[in-house]
Amino acid sequence: MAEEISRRDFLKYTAALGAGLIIGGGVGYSLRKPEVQIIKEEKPTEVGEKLKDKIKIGHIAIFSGPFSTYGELQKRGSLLAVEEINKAGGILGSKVEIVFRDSAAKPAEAVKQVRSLVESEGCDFIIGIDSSGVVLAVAEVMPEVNKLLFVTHAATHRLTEELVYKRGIKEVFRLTVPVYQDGILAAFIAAQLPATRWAGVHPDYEYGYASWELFQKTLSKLRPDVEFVGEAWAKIGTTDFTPLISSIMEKKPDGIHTVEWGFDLFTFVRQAKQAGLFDAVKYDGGYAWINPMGYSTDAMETLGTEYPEGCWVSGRYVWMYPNTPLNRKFVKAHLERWGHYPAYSGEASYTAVYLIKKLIEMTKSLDIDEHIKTLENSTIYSPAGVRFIRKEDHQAIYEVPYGQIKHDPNYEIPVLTNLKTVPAEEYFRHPPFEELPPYKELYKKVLSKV
Amino acid sequence: MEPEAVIFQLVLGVASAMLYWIVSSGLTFTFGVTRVLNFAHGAFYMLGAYFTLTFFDLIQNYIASLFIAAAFVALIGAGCERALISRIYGLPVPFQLILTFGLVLIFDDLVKMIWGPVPRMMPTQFVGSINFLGRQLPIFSLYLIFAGITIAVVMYFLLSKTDWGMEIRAITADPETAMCSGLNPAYLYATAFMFGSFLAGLGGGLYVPISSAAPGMGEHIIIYAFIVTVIGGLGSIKGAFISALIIGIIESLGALFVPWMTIALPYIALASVLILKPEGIFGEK
Repeated sequence: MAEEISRRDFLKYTAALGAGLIIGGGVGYSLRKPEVQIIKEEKPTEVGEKLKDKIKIGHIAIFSGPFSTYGELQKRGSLLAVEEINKAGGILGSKVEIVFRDSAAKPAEAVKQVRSLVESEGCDFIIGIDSSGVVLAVAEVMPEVNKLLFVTHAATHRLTEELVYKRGIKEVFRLTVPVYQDGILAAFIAAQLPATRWAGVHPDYEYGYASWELFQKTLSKLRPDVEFVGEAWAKIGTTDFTPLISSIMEKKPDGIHTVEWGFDLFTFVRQAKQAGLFDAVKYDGGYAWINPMGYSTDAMETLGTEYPEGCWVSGRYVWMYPNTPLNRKFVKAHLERWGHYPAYSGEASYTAVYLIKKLIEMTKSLDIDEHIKTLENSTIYSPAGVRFIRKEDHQAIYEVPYGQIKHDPNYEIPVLTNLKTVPAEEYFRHPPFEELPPYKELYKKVLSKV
Repeated sequence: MEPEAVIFQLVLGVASAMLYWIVSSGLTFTFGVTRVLNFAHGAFYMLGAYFTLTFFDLIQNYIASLFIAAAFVALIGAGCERALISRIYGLPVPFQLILTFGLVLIFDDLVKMIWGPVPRMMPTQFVGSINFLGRQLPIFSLYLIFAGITIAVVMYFLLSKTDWGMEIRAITADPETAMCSGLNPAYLYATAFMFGSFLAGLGGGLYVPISSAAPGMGEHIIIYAFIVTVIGGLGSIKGAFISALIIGIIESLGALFVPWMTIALPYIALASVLILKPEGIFGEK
């Protein structure tokens, strides 16, 4: 099914990806050099024009309760960046300080922390935020506290489509992929598999609904021959998935789309294995099993070889992609500092801190209007690859591949093979966000990389 | 819909119910005796899971690890009861909630310091499935049913046939008369709390091979345990067993017939019981 694409085509397509970014970026882009180049630190920055004694960054994530893993994964990224920057002389001679606060996954608590970080701690920037519900509440107060927020995890498309684009909250930028990854790109992968009877097993909240809806809409356009035969909705913290699994298996699916993640994913995968759900979706080349957050670091470290080889998984960044010096350097530094591979939210947090550094160095100011102007339509070179910050919705546009799980004894965690993706500019939704992206001939162009 | 599908779903519902029962049994037992609503019950459940996988790493015997882990949790529970919880007997409920919730936060952070923030797994102990009504019934579902029923039988025996059980029942029914007859309340409350913690630890240890151990994992199950306990009647062990079965079965059948509203069903059951019989099915007025 999957088209093999030669290396030359791949290079051509990579160039087209660049072109896509420029077109998406609006007028005059081609005349400019990419302005925000983060991380490439050839020389320590000049001292003498200190803006502030200390540049303070407030990092809000979940540090307590059942999702506290996610706060720790983010912290590894931002703290690593802060340590590297301070070692290299800080930002325009100012030291960087990062203050971590717990959102407890509660919108009201996170809003309180934003105010406290800005008003009592004197933070200049806010980064982080894990959950969709929390990010929608926090975004609302950013204009009032008049600071920039760099979102490094939460994925609801309503943040950038509604709050930034439609309501004009310009203080918010998202560096990670929204649910387009979980719904739309997942459907591109599904379209290449032989399965025609798809079922969904999803967490029962916003992220689950949005992903499943985008998946169905996109896949039915790409493959009019597929059917959606069943869906199961799992509460967060489901202890026994077997009733859900059997209710799905009654519908005889041959493909599964699941956006389960974290603790629930571990339970689900282990129980699905014993209940025979993987066997039901097996095909020649693996399993028609698509799990967008399956390559999250915590999932790979915990599940390890329990996650069957050949399942299709992704993340909002996967550490082996892209194979650039910058990414290799980041992965190495992260492994040395923490002894673990970086998580997607860790990469985004690392990038956020470096982005703040670059912004201040370029504008030589802490004026947020100038920062917004600089960021809009800018290109960022980051470990996750080239991110283009779209002016209309402040969404970072970059591609992340899906791949098949492989248990390789040379690595501590499973790796991905048969990486596939579509240029981000194509599968991300576009302003005014009314229709799905124009697919046209896109299906034919789906990349195949190893 | 084939009738086999419904029966199969019913059996899976009973298996799901058993975990709710195991966790609720300790919660409702502790409350029945000490009148303390113990939020930290979920934290003890989490400790049971972590201890089990750690002992398993050391001795490679699941059943032994499970009981050693539950015994350790029981000791920790007894320690908490003597040092902290015994000081708030008889005080208003908010004191209990603040104290036991404080314990939850402390244990969650301790777990992260000891085992790290990323969840941990132990090898599956229950591999495969049997053919039942033409469908695959996982071995672990059978094991949950076995474990749940065994715990129910052992609890019944302990409380009705042993001296300790009779003393516990006496102090539960009428603390003043029990004390006048020479029973030692400090001893009974401490051992009751210890036994409740043992059940929590056992629940975590029974659960870990079919899922994983994670910081804060008890916070999900404790909400369910509270729903089960309230529906069954606070303090009623029989009530917890019946109400866990009700929740497990309606969730399971709900997944088959009304998948879009499965999550609401336990709450609908809770609301119905609170309206019709506020003290719970087997609760005392």
